[in-house]
Amino acid sequence: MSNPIPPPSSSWHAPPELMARYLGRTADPATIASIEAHLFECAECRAALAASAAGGASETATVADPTWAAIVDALDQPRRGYVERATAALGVPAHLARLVAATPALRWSWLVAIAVVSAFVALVSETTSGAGPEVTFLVLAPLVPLAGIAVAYGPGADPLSEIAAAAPFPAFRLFCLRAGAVLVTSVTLLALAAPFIDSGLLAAAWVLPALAVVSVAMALSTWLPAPIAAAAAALGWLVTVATVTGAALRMTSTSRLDAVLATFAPPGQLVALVALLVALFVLVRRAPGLELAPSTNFSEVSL
Amino acid sequence: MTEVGDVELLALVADGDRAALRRLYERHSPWLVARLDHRCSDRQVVAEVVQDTFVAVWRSAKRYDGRGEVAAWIWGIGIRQLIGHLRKRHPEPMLVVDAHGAEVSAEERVLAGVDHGPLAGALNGLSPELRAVVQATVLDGLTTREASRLLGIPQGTVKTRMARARVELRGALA
Repeated sequence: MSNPIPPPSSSWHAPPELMARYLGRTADPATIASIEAHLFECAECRAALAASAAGGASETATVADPTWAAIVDALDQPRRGYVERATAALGVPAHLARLVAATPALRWSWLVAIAVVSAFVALVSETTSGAGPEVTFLVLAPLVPLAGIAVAYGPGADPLSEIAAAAPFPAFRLFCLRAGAVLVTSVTLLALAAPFIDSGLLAAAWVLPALAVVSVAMALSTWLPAPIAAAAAALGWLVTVATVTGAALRMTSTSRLDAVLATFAPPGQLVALVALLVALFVLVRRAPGLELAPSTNFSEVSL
Repeated sequence: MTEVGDVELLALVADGDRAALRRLYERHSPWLVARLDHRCSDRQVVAEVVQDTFVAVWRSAKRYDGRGEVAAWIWGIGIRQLIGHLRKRHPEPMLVVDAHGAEVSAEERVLAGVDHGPLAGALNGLSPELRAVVQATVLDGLTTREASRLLGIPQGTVKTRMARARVELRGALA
């Protein structure tokens, strides 16, 4: 073509009359196409369009712009994190997913607790000689979900606890929900780790005791603050193991390791099952309308 | 003008500067609204699309590669937000540019940059259906799939209409 294409910085600008027709949607398609192409390149015409579209309305109109208000609103909204999205993708309703994931501080506290205890369990199992590894794993595994629950919720750990207390959502249901989330996560992690520790049936022997310890902790937490309840349950578990081991050593002349394993023998599993059922019964009985036991309030520190 | 450039503003937005986003919004939302108005007759939807576009600008400002006009980059986000919105609501037949048989003035010829007289005539002479497809694919740079969502017609139809439009344009320009 003979006509040179004007450079972007050309001095040509869309005449006001043409701009008005574009804004009024009365321009023909070719004009629309050319104006739109020109607007990409020309800041002056964009400004002219803005002035013309505002129709003389001044700054005050843009300050109260509802679209801008909506944008700011959207920016202030916390984005759904991937834990929350993954939880929601598993079919958990969105509001429950948010309750479970709550805040990053909260979520990380128990994820880290589980990771630390798991690592500790793995480390100790690894460094113990002989038949030690699986024994260590078995004894410590039930403490993993417990650690998560202990640091997960309640005043002190939960920056949301004040809000949660005021929310029209049963406090106890919330606690069970979150404890459930911790339990699912930690049991999954342990189940993944178990085959590496032991190849036999023992790899599953920790499951029932772990569930029992956790449910006892939860039952206790209807009277005590969650961290104390968890500590009490952990202590109870360790004392039980020690007692059973001691008794086994006195009665038979087995090795010390085998004595520890006595806790996980069928009678021990049965006791764990009974403890689990009793704890669940207590939970259900004390559940309706129950508020969690209060504890020293240092929640301001946690944020 | 001694104003801060769009590229600099976008860099500030990438660093989390809301005032910079506000400036970008003031500069670019008017034409974005006008342009979307030509592609969607529902004011409410246009407002939502503008809102989502600037939220997306805020979140993806880092991904602007510094090449091309910022306005064109924003439009790329905006038109795709519009498509997303139209998919959510049952895609209604789009109201696309309605020509009122306005006379082609001298300014308009110049406006197109090149001597586009015959092209303008050819474009204006297309039926609204064919023109909508040309607008979506050629002028807005959408893929066949995106155009089919925008216009609420099957992809196959987009292709056949594009082919027909090509034949007609070629005929008109010959």
